[in-house]
Parts: sequence; structure tokens; C-alpha cells
Amino acid sequence: MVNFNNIWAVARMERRQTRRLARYWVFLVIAYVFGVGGYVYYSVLHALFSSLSASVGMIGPRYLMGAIALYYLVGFVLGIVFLGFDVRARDIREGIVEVLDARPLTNFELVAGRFLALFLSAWIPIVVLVVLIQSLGFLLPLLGSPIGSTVEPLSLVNFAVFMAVPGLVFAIGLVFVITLLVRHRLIAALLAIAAIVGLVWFMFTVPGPVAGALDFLGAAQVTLPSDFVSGLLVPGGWWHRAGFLAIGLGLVGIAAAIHPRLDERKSWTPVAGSVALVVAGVASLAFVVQTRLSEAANIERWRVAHEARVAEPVADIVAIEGTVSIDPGRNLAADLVVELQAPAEQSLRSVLLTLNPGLRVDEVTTVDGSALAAEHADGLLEIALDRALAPGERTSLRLRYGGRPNTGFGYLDSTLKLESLTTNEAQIGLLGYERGLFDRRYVALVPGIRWLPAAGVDVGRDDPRTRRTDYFRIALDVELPSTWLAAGPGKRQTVGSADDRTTFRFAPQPAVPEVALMAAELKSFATEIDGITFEVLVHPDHDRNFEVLADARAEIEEWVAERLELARDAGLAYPFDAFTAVEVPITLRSYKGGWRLDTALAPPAMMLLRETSFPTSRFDFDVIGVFVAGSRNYDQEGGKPRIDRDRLVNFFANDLSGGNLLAGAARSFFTHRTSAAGPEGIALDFVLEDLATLLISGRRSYFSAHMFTNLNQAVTAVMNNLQGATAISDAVIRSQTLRTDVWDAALETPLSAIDPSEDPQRALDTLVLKGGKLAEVIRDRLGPDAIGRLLARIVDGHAGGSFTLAEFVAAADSVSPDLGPLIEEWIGTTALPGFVVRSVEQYRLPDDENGATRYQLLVRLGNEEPVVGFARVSWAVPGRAGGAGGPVLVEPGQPAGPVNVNPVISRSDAIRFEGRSAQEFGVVLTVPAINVRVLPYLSLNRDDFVAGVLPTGEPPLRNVEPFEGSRVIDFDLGRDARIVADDLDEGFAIVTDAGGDDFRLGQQNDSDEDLDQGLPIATTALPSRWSRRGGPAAWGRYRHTFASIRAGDGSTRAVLPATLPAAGTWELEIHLPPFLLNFANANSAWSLEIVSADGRETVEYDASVATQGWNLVGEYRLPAGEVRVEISDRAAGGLIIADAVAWSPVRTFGAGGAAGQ
Amino acid sequence: MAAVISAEGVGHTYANGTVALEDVNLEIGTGLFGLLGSNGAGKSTLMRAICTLLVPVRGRVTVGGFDVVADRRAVRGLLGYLPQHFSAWRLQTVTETLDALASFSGLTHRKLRERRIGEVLESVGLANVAHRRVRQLSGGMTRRLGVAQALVHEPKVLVVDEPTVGLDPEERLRFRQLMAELGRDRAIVLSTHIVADLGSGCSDLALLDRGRVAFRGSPAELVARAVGKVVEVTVPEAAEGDLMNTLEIVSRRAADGQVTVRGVADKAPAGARAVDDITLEEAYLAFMVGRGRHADELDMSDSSDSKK
Repeated sequence: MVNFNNIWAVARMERRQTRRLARYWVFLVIAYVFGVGGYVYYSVLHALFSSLSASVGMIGPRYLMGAIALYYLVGFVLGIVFLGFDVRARDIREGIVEVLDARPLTNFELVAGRFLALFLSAWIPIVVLVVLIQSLGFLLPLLGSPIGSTVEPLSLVNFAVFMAVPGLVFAIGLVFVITLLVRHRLIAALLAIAAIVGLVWFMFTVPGPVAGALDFLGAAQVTLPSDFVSGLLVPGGWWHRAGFLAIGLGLVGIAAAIHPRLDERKSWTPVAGSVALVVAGVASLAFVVQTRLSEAANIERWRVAHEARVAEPVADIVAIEGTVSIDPGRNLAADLVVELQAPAEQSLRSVLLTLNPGLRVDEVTTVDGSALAAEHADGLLEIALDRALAPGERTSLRLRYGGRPNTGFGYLDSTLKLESLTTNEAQIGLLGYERGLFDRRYVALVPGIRWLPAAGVDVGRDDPRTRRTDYFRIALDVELPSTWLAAGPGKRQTVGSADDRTTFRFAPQPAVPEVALMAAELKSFATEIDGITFEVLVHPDHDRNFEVLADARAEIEEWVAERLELARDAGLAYPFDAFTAVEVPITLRSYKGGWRLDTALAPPAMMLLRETSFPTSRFDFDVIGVFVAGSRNYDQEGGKPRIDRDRLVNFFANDLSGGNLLAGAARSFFTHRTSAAGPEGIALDFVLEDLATLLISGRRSYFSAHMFTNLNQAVTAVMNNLQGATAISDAVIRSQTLRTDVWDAALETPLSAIDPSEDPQRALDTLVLKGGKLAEVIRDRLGPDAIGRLLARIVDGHAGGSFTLAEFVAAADSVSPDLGPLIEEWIGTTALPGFVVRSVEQYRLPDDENGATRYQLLVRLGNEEPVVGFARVSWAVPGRAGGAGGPVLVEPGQPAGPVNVNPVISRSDAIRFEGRSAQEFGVVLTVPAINVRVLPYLSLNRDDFVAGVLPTGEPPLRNVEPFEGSRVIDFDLGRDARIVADDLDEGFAIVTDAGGDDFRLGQQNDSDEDLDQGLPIATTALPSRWSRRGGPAAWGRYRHTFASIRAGDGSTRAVLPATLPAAGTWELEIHLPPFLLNFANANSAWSLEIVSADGRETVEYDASVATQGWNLVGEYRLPAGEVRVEISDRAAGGLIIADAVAWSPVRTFGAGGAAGQ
Repeated sequence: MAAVISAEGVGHTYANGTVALEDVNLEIGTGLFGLLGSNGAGKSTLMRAICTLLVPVRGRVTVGGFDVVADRRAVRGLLGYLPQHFSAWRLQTVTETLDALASFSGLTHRKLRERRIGEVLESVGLANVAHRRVRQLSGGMTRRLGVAQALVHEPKVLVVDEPTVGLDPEERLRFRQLMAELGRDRAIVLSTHIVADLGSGCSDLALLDRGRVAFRGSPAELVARAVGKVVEVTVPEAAEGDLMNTLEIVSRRAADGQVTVRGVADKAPAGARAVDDITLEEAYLAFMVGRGRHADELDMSDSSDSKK
């Protein structure tokens, strides 16, 4: 008989004891620092940065606190080890064990009391933390604090109850059992830590459902917080948490059974019950795992069923018309007439459609009412026609179906299956995990769940090489509760209202490839611009930004009107009568399936705004305006409203999670109207989509859900590329496309042959690299108007259908005669141009007629490869003294505007270089340039690079005519006569004293380490091994890279070999990039060895006096033949750099020893 | 007198082969019962068996009619136990320690518990340090806390093992008085090697030697057995050393170059005279000497702390 008084008495004593332990408070303080600190940290980040990018809002405390609970709990569980490991040892150590054992207290009461004390000691602070955080969320705004907001309440309940309670119980039980089995408290602590860390590690590394069985803290069992569809646990989560609770309690019972007593008798009474609890818990977890495996198996079964019929002829859906009645969370009833057309080359006896398997097909008839046999299984609806359809013939069928859509259905051919990802990779879950929603509070009928019938099977839809996109007309009457609003394709018209139900009609004029319908109790903000209704539908509590940006409304509307006009003037008018941005719950999956995992947030005439995006971002706080002095000039034209407008535009342009509203809108201009077909389809679609985005938003956009499987790495890469980037989106694109593996793929594969089946992410990034650069060069060469005309020409000819490469080229030809061939060449070849700077010159010109100073900047540039290439030249001039902030980019032909930052960068138009040709670019400046760069498009240079180092001081005066523009020059003019050995040359090697080379160009290794042409890619400032890093100011024939290593003991050397054509006295120079030059200078003595047939000569090189560019080392008398410069890692400290060395003849000798030149 | 504690044929052999108890038969009733014996005699083993902390290999022990093996919980409910080596949770205060231990022994009513704690602290002289943490107590205070915890729940049976070790003479005296007082309505088993600790309240005792009960009776009976064996002899100081071989010396007093030695001997040395005011300690020594033991084996010094 259990005496609960005893348990409580032990618990009271033990809690007192725990509270008096210094380590308890240490853990508590750490936990609170993490908990409250995390809240404040994320609040600050959210306040500061959420208005910079539509993706940054994900770090908002309102939705993130539940997620970071995992880290808090892990910390506390580790603390529990050091509180629980003394469960018996302390009684013995403190001499009370005999008195305790002689008390009428059972083992179970003693252990249960101690468990209870430890649990309460850990759990109560969690509850207090939750209350504290929520109180801060309420109070801070009331006190006028710019940061702080409440956390989504159910996420806190999840944290404090469903994560913490079973997690802590399990951890305490585990620690008790280990402690009582091992007895030695230090070993027990180490074992317990190993067990807990091991569980967490395994949880993060084993795939999907199995990981769930190890997820004792329940991080993956709670729903993402949402104000729309707030909830507690994911399906199966209750069983899961109950399972770990049972196992934890069972372990406590087992601990009681093995808890030693001085009478040496074990109390086996609790064992049966405890073991039964553990078994029940394990069974519960097994049930959850099995359920989830079977869900994954369901998807696989559906996929297999669809794959099996992928070769069958597909009818074209011409139109869908009818009524959809929605009883949220309960039932969807559709009564539709679907017009179908047989393929042009094939007759049809039956029609195969995809329809959500959760829906029950009630009736399929012809339009005159004749019933047709239909079978609906695995999401495939096969309808036997009453007569064969001749090729190209049309027919209409009436479909009546209803039920609750299965939101587990959809994206069957998704290359990433959320169900089988490891917990680590499942960071992609931040992009949402519900394919669709049919909740009583929100209905998200995304196209992917096939709530409307779709032609053919539901695999391979995103591969235009094998499947043409099906465009169809739509006219839907949607019946909803009267308090609800809906967003769909085009304008929402209210057509009726009765019995607390309202009917809306969506009947856009253009054919669409898919239809999304979002509905909930939403708040509407609408306006009309140029006859088009623009509406934003948000959660009723998420309307603050509309107040904040109210003054900018006119500016925003004007900007939208300008973009519409730009497109319309080019012949590409917005085809819908409305564009609706609608807020969607954070749980809704924001990426589609297939290989590309394209954004699911941009269906026709709509943009789905995630809760963490615009609706909850902090536009009331302008971080740049507050912290970057001089960056906001409210006196400029348009004033604050224009600045706010630009903030909003940049906010969406900087999105990297599929929520770029501008790119989404661009799709409605083009991608949702027509698409490519045929072998080059993937590349064509990509390039044209990029062009449409460039036209509408002025910038490129990037989204890859693949990136979110390793978000930390991706974010780090983006941060590394932010320097010099003018927008976050640029940094994202650079970070993804400068990867060595992407370039390797790009160099081997023409755009037309990109095959995503092997490595979808690499294929996408290769597309972004090659296709994106092609789009950029078209934009920069032809301008937005020509892009508009090109897109309009294609839409005009192929709206509602598809086009081929030949049709695209023909359209391009009609816009610009040299565009078609250029596109054909770029799409079909792997050859790339390569640019080499011949010279950079700057001199002063005579003052102009007004007495203004003038400076001539001349850049001579050659394309060394036999293919056409494009490049631009950029130059920077100093801004106004005292300016602050990053560089300001001025587009060609645009005024620089008020110079209030430092420096101001300008760039030329794209200059076309024929194969193996050179050109001279000139520009006249009012102040001398301080920096000149070459910005190649797709080329072997891979990235922008510094053209040359300009001398400081006033340039010399030359009385010559100014030159502006570009002109062809002699190909060999200004070639560098030096013999240069570079770190990317074939002979470059790393040697070690251990013997032999440890590196050869092109070397592969077996590890997962990323190599760049045989050398590891430098990931730290001071790499411990010779590593390669790119740098625009490094020397390079095409690519500008250098090898570097931190100072060592001289056991390894970088070898730069060159072949001298003649014996004589040669001048040796060494090239150093500015990057980390400070590290290099930290050590003044580098050890260089010059090795020739005459022997080895050691040279001490004083790196402290080196500057960026070429530095003279000395003159050496050397024989003809190979000469190696070996740069040793021996130095007292700092970084050793091997970039390039150059040999120039001072005096050479012929075979007879006569001096010559 | 009804037996509160009963041992029937109790024997215990430790895993290393040491025989600690052999055929011990005892019946202990209400009152202060002394358990005497030298180190290793088996006292602590017997005490631990009574307190359910050890399961004897042979025989049966009952407390209050409950078997210490089969009805451990019932036995523990009757017991108050002060082990030879006692301390408590260092971070708890004196009151908190007593509160917890009283609760464990079934004193669930808070007010009652508080009253009892107050009383017992008063009785052991710890009232003024009631809120001091255990780690701040002196050795003597800790020992008194041990006594307090054994008494706090007013047990029917009190088992105290070497209770006065570490106490100063004043505390020891008070302890003896307390035991005498408590012994009126409960059974107290007091194990000690300091015979004086039994005090006047002890009416019954057993003497263990090498795991067996060597004597069982009242202190008076033990004293009676010593008559004639406790002698006093006066010799010149220079000759005192010769007495060591024939006499187990209990005390000596010197004056004018002469020394009067009082001791125990089976065979009295020349010039010795039997005394008639035999103390219980001398009687115990005499008994043990009769069994071939020597005083130094018995370690009867009341200042001895060797067992701590």
C-alpha cells in the first residue's frame, strides 16, 4: 500500500535540499538566461530585422518560442543529471542512510518522493518562465517598449506541458535507473549525459518516424504555432507524449525496485507495474512510429499507383465550372462540369484524372445526365466514357463529389519527403508541413492536394521535358459561412447570401494551370489600380502594418501602377481582374513537390503570405533609419512614404522562402499563362520566369526549399556573401551559385541538358547560375521594354498552351536580331568566355568648358575564349565626406542622386565581346575612381574581380580627347609579358616533409569535405591546412583565388612552378590580395625557396611591407627550365598566402652565354 | 513482563565468514535494556537485526510481536533508532530534518509534528539551534540530533547504539536521565561499551561475547557475580608494575609514595582485599576477565572515541 504522505514528505524534504544546491541555481540561471534571453533576443531581432525580408519574420518570438523550447529543455535535462545522480549516494555520504532505512518508508515512496521533488524543481521554473515571458509580452508594449509581444499561447502550453512533462519524467527516470545501477555517481553522471546526448543526437540523425521514437522532449510532436489554427500536438502526438510519460514513470518504478536498502532486500513489488508501464510506453511509441510509417507508405502507395500510369494518354482539361460548398473542417461538396479534350494525336476511351482520395465521388455523368462508370482509388479517378473521343475532340462531364479532403495527399513525386528526413533536415518544416488545410478555422485548398480534378497522374508535372502544363478556364461559385472571406484566382464577386452562407464567384478571364482557394474569417484591405482590384486578406489581429504604412499607400499604389504600366506598354498586360495577397497559417507547406520544390505560395492571381511574413513583421521599426546614420533622407522626393514604399518592395524582394510577392505576381503575367515544352523546357521556363521577375520587380528572386534542409549552413553562406551585395536576394543567389559543385556541373552541362533527377538542388542552382545570368544579360542588353515585348510575344502566341525552343527563339528574333542566336548558343553549349584585364589607366583630362575637372578612366579587357561573352565594368568614387553605410549602386543611365554614402559605385552597360577579342572601355569622371572591377556575366571567371589597383594621388594630366563607351582594340594589345604561376595552374602543388605531394590539381577525396580543385575550401580565416579561397582582388587567369594556411612549423609548402625560357637574371614578384593581409602582415618573415636546376635558394620575404597587388621579391640569376617558388608555412604567426608569383626577365643569356634581352 | 523484543536462536554470519551472532536468545521488555560487549561482540549486528536493517541468517527476531523480516514495515513503525554513526542531510536545518523524519514515521499531522519537534528539541537541548543547518552543528549537537530523531515520533521501541559517544559529561548525564525517564513506558535497547552509560535506569542487561549471550540478568546480578573478584591493594609506587600481571586495574590513587590500586582478578594478589562497593563497570570487567578477557580488549573508557 503506497503511503502518499510519505511520498509528499520525501518530496518536500528533497525540494528543500535541491533548492539549497548551488548547482540547481546555476542551472536555473542558465536556463532563465536562455529562456528569457532567447525571448528578448528574438524579440529584438524580430523588431530590428523582420521588415527587411519576408523570411526574417520566422525568427519572431511569437512563433519561435515553442521551437526554442527544445534547447531550453535539453539544457535543463542535462542539469537534472547533476541533481538526480545523488539519489542514494548522498544518504550514505551524509550518514543518514541507516535512520532512513529503519523508517517505515518503502523504496517506492522514497524514490517516488525524490522523483516528484526533482520533477517539480525542474518543471515549476518552466511554468514560471512561461508566465514570465507571456507577462513580458503583455507588459513591454504597454510600457512603450519597441520590442516584445506575446507568444502564441498554445505553443507555451505545448512547451510547459506536452514537451516538458513527459520529457522531464523520462529524463529523471533514466537518470535514476542509471544512477542506481552504476552506484558511482561520477560514472553514472557521465553515462546519463551520454544517454541523453546520444538520444538527442540520434533523434537528429535518424530518419523521420524512427526519430520520433527518440524524441523524448517532443520537439517534433507539437504543431507550429499559428494564430489561425493554433493547436497542441500533431497527429499521433498524444500517443507519443503518453508513451514517453509511461516509460518515464516506469523507469522511476524500476529505480524504486533496484534502489538498495541496508537489509539487502530489493522491493520487487513495483517491478511488474513499472515494467508494464515501460512496455505500454514503448508500445505507444511503436504505434506512433507505425502510424507514421504507414502514412509515409500511403504516400508511396499513391505515388507508385500514379507512376504506374504515367505513360497513359492525358486528356486536356479545357474548363472547370460549377459550385464548391465548404463546411469548414467537415465537408466539401463539389458539383462541377469539367470540359475535356482528347490529345491531338490520340483517341480516348476513358479519362484519367487526379482527385484527392479523401473525397468521395458521388456521381459522374455526361452533361445530359447519363451516368458514367468511374473508379476512384489512390487519388486516381478513372472515368469510362460512353463513347470514344476522337483525337482533339472535346466533351463535358459532370462530377459530384464531397467529403473531407485528405490533406496528406499531394506532391507525390516530391524529391524531399518530409516523412523520411532526419530531424536535422526537417528544418524544412519551418516552411510548413501541411499540404493543405481543411480546418474549422481555416481552409487552404492549395492546388497540390487536388481538391479540383487535374488531368492525368500526379507525378512529373514539373518536368516540361515530358509533361506539358495543362491550362484551363475556371468559373467557380464557392459557398462559405457568411463570416468568412475567400481568396481565389481573380476577383471575388459576391453572388448570393442566405442562411448564414455566402456564395462567392471566381471566374478569371485567362486560363490557369492551377487553382488555389483560401478561406477563413479574414480582414480585407482592398484598392483598385488601373481597373485591377488589389486586395490583402489578413487575420483580424494582424492589421497593424496597414496603419503603419497608411501614409505610404499612395506611393505604393503609384509604384504598382508604374510596374503595371511598364508591362502593359511592352504589351504584357496583367491578365486578371484582381490580385489577392492572403495570409496563410504558418503550418501550410509553402513549397510544392517534384524535383524543384517550387514555391506553393504563388498560385495564379494570388500570393499567399505566411503569418510570419508581412502580416506580423515590424514595419513600425526601421532599423536602417534608426541605426545607419544618413541612410534615410526624409527630405528627398517622396519623403517618408516613398522610403516606406521602398522598404516594402525590398522586404519582398529579399525573401528567400518562396514568399516574394513581386516574383509571385510576375508569375501571373507569364508563367501562369504559358510554359515551355520539350527537351529544353526546364531551362526555358526558368529563364523566362527570371525575365518576368526582372521585368516586374527589377530584381532576380531565389527560392529553393532544398536550402532549408541545412538552414544553418545556408544562412552562414548568405551572410558570407552579404558583403558587397546590394540586396539579400543577390547574396542568396551568390551563395548558392558560387559553390564549386554547382560550377563543376555548369561547366559540364549545357542549360538544355540539365537533368534534375540526380541532384535536384544542384540542378536548380545550376539553372539559377546559367539561366539567371542569361536572363540578366538579356535584361541588361535589351532593357525592360524588350523583355516585355519578348514575353508578350510568347504569351500572345501560346497563352493557355506551351511553346518550344524554336518558337521562343523566333519570338526573340522578332524582338532583337542577335537575341535568338545568343539564346540558342547559351542554351546549347558548355563553352564559356573568359575575361582578362589588359590594363587599367586613369588620367586627368583638361577641364571642361565650365572649368570642371575631368578624369578619364580606361579599362582594356579581353575575352580569351572563342565564344561570345558579356561583361560590365564598375567603378567606385568616394562619396561625401562623413557619409556612412554601405555602397550605393547606381544603375547605368541613372543619376547618382544625393551623394550621402561612401563610396558610390557605377557600372557600365553589358559589353558584348566576340570570341577572342578585346575592347577598351572608357568613362569620364568628375572625381578619380578609387576602385575598378570587372563584372562578367556567365564566364570562366565565375565571379566579379578587381580590374587593377589604381595609384593613389592626383592622376597625371594628359591633353587627349575624352573617350566614353567601348571600342574594339587589338586582341594582343597590353598583354602581360610576365611568366605567372598561379594557385590554379596545373603545376601548383602542396608538398609536405612527410614525403610526396599531398595535393594535386583536380584531386578528389573520399570524405564529405568540399574541395575546390583539389584543395579544401577555406572556411575559417586561419585554416590549419592549405585551403583555397576566392577573392576578387586575388590574381587569377580567370578565377581569382588564392591558397592560404596559418603559420606552422615549415613542414608544408605551396609550390608554384614556372618554366623560364632562358637563363639569366629574373625578377620575382609575388601577388597578394588585400583579404586578410593584416593576418599576413602580422608576421613579417615568410620563407620562400627558389628551386631550379642550379639548386635551392632560401629567401626571407618581409610580408609586413607587402601591399595589395604585385610586390617585388628580388632578382635572381637562374638557369633555363623549370623554376619553382616554394612558399613554406614556417612563420612566427599569422597567415601565409600563395596567390601567384611572376617572373620578368632583367637580362637573359643565349646558349653561348651572351647577354640578351 | 511481556517481551517487546524477542530473539530466538538468532545467528548471523557475514559474507566474509565472520560469525557475528550465534544462537542468541533474548526477551526484552519495557524499560532500559543494556547490551554490553566488547568491540566485535555482535552488539551492532543484533541491533541492526532488531531495526530491520539486517536479515539474520538463522533464528527469528520479533519486535512488538512483528517479525523483523516478514513485517518490516510494522516493525519500523514501532522503532526509533539511533545508529552508532549518525549524521543528517547537511543542507537541512535541525527542525527540517526532524520534520522530515517524523513525517516518514507516520507523524502526518503538521501541528502535532511541530509540537513534538519542539518538545524533543527541548529535551535534547537543541532548541536554540533549531533553525541551524546540520552542517553547522558540532559533533555533540549532531549526536543529540540523532537522539532527537529517534524520539521525535514517540516510538514504542528505542534502539540506541553507542549513544553517548562524542557527548560531554554534562550531556551524557542528561542523556542517562532521559533514557531512564523514557524507559518507564517503552523498551529501550541501549548498546554500549561504556558501562556507565546504562546508569541507574537500567534494570536488565545482556552481555554479548563473541556473538553469544554470555550473561543475561539485572545489573545487581552481574555485580553479585563479581563479589570477591574486585580487590584493592596498596603497594609502594615502585612495585605497582608487578600488579599489572595479576590484576586488571580499574583505578589507582597515589599518596605518600604509596599507590592504592583497585582492580579485578580471578586470583587476588598478595595483600589484596576484596571490596564491597563494586561498580557495574567492575562487575562487567570481572565477568569478562572470568572469561579470559583483558580490560584493554574491552575498551571501556568513556572517553574513547575509537569507534567513531
